[in-house]
Amino acid sequence: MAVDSAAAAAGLEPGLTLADARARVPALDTVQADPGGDRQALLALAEWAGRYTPLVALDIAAHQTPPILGLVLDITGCTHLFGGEPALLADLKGRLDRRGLTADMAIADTPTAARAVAIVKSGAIVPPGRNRDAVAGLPVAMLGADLATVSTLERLGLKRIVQLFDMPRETLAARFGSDLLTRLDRALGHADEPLSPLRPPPVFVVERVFAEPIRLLEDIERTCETLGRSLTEPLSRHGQGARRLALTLFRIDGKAFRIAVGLSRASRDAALMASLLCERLGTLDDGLDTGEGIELVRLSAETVEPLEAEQGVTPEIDGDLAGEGHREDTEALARLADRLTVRLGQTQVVRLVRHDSHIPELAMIAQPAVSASNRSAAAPSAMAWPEAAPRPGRAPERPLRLLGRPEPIEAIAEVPDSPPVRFRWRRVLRHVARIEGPERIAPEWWMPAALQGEKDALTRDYFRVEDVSGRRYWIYRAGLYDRETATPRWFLHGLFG
Amino acid sequence: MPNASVMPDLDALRAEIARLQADTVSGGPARRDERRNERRGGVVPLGAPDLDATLGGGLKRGALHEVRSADADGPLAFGFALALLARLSLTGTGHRSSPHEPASHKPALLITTFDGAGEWGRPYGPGLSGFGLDPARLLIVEARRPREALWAAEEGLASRALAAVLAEIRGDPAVVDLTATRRLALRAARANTAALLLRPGTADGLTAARTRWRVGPFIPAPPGSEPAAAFTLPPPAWTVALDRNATRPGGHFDLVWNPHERTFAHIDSGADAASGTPDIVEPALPRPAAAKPAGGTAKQDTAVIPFKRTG
Repeated sequence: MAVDSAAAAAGLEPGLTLADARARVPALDTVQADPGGDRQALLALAEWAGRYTPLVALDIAAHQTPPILGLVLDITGCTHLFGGEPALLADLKGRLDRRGLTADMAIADTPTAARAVAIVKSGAIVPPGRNRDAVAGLPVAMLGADLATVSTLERLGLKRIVQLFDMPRETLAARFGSDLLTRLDRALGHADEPLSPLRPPPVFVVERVFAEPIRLLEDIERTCETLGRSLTEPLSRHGQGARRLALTLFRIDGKAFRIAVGLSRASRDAALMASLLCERLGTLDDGLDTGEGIELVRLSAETVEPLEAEQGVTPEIDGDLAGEGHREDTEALARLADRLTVRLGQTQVVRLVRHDSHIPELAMIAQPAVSASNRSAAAPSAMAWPEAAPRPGRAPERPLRLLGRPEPIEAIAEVPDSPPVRFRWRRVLRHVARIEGPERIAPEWWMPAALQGEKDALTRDYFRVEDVSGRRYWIYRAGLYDRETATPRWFLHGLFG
Repeated sequence: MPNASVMPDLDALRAEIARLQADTVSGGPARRDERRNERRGGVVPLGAPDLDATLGGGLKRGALHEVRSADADGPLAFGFALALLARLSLTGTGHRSSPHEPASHKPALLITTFDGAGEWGRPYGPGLSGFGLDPARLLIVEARRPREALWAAEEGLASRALAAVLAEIRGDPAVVDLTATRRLALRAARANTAALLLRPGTADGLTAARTRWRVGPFIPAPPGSEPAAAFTLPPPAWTVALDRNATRPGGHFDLVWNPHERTFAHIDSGADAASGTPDIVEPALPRPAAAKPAGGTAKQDTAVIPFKRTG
C-alpha cells in the first residue's frame, strides 16, 4: 500500500496492509493500484523532461521499499542553458509543482547516488566528487540492492552505507555477491552506470524558446521552417542528411507532443523538412491542442546518413523506382513518397517487391515505400520483375488483383475430380464459359511451416475461369482428390482484368 | 475560354506533323522527333488504328481520362485502365525498335481505396508484370477514403516525376464531383502528366475529364449458344464505349490487349470468335496508327452523341 500526504498525516505509512490501514483510519479512501497507468504517466513526464536533456531514462524499481518510480536525467553539459544546477533544479521543481506533482529530486555524479540522496534529502545537490560524503550517512537500503541482501546487512548491524566503506571488498563480494559491490561503486562514482535512454539521443538538435507562448498552427509551422533552416547548417557542415526527424512541442502546462517523420532518402532541404512536418501536424489524430500555448519547439535529426554535396548524388543508388530517369525525377519521386507516407501512413504507401516463392500469396511483398529503418538494405537484393512473356492468343497467367484471403466458393462439377461448370461466389451463381488449367501448385514442403501460407498446406490446382458474362476469376481446388482429402474444397483467389 | 477548344486540335495537329515527318524521313531521326514530341506532351497512340483515329492520334497525356463501368465489372475496368497506364508509362512511343532494347518504363502512381481492396483484392505484382507493367516502377497507395485518394492523385500530378496517375474510386462518393475532376484535369494539364480516374459502379454524374470510357466485358458469342467447353482463355479483351471525346464523336470498340507488346488491337468481329481466339488485327507497327486511315471510319457508324464540354 502506498499513501499520499493526507494519509501520512493521519499516521499511515507505506507498506501497511489494507486491513490494518482501514482499522486505523476507518474513513480511508482507497484506489486500486494501476501500474500501467503509472507507467504511462511517467512516460508522458519523461517526454516532457526532454526539455532539459535529450537523455531521459525511466527508473522503475517496484520491488524496492519504498518502490521507486522515477526518471533519470543525464544533464551533463546541459545545465548552463538553465543557469546552473541549482537553477535547473528550481526550474524543474517549480514546473512540477505547478502541475501538482511532488517529486523527490537530487543532482549527483551518478544515478545511484542521486536516487539515494533524492529519497532522503530531496532537493540536494551533491557537488562533483563528493559522493562519498553524501551517501555515507544513508541507510544501506538506498543502494537499491534486493530485499534479502538489505535485511541480511541490517541483521549484521550494517545499517549505514558508511559502514560498508571499511569492509574488505573480498568479504563483501563473498558474502553478498558482486551486485552489492557494483552498486556501492556506482553510488561512490567509481563505476560507470549505463543509462538506457527512452529515445536514442538525436544527432543534431535545434530549438526555439518562446517568451510569449505561441498557440496558432501557422506560428508553429513558421517555426518549423526557421528550425529547418537552422538544422541545415550543422547537417551540411558534417556532410550529413537527415533520415528521421522529430519535432517536439512543449506545452506550457507540461505536456509534450512529439511528431516523427521518416524520409525516404537523406536530406537537408529545409523546405522539404518543414513541409513534411507541417503535413503531419495537420493530420494529428486528435488534433493539436495547443492549450495555454507552446513555450518550446525542438527539432531534432534522430537518424542521419552521409549526404555528399548535392551534385554527388548518383541516380544509380536511388534510381530503383524512378528507373533511368533524371536525377530531378528521382528527387521528385522521393519527395512524393515522403509526402504521401507522412499523410497516409507507412503501410498505405508501398512498392511491390518480388519474393522467391511459388505460393501465390507469398510471391510478392508490399514493402513501405518509405521506411525509417533502412531502405537500401532491401532495394538491391530485390529481384527484378520478369517482363510479360509473349503468349499469343492466351491470357496472362496471374490475376491483376489478389484477394486478402482466398474465399471459399461452392463449386458444382460434373464429376468429383473435374473443374466446375458452375460456382457460387458471394451468393451469385456463375456459369463457366471457358476454363484454363489446372496449374498445380504444391506446398513448399522444404520450408518451415511458419513461413508457409497455411498450417497444413494442401496441393492446389489453379484454374483460370471466365463466366458467361465475360468476367474472369482465379479459382483453385485445395487438396488432391482421394490422396490428400476426400472432399476437396474450392476457393476463389483473384480476379483478372 | 475561347482558346480552350482550339488547343487540343493544335496538339493533335502537332502530333500529325511529327508523324508526317516520320513518314518522309524514316528511321532514326524521325523516331527521335516523335519521341521529342511525345515528351513535350501531345498524344500517346494506343495501337488500335480506329481508336487512335477517333482520339485524334491517341490519348492526350496532359489530361484527365475517366473510365467507368458497372460495379460488377470493376476488375475488368481495372484491367483496361492498367493497360492505358502501361501505354502511358512507356517512354518514347512505346515501340521497341529491337528485342534487345528493354522497354523503359517511367514510374507511375497507382491509387486504390480500402473499399476497392476489400471487394476485389489488392494489386498483385505477378499479375501486373504479366500484364505489361513493371511493378518495381509503381508506387502504390491504398487510400482509406475517396477524399484521400483524390488528394494522393493531386499530389502525384504535382510531383511531375510520374508518367501517369491512376486512381480507382469505387461507387459514386459525393467528393468526386465536377470541381474535384476539374482540379485533377488542371493539374494533369499543368504537369503534362496523364490522370486516369477509374470509377467502377458509377453511371452518371458530371466530369471534367477529356475522355470518358465505359468498359464492359467482350463476349465473343451470344451467351448460351456455346457449351462450356473452351479450354483456353484468350488475352484480355473489352468492349469499350468512348462516351465522351473532347472535340470529336466517340464510338464503340472491341479491344484486345497484348501484354508483351504493350499494345491494344481491334478484335475482328468477323473472325471465328466462337473458337475463343479472336483474330488480332496487326497493329500498325512501328508507325503509329493515325497516318494510316485505311478502314479507319468503318466502325464509327454507331451513332454516339458527343457530350458537350462542361469545363
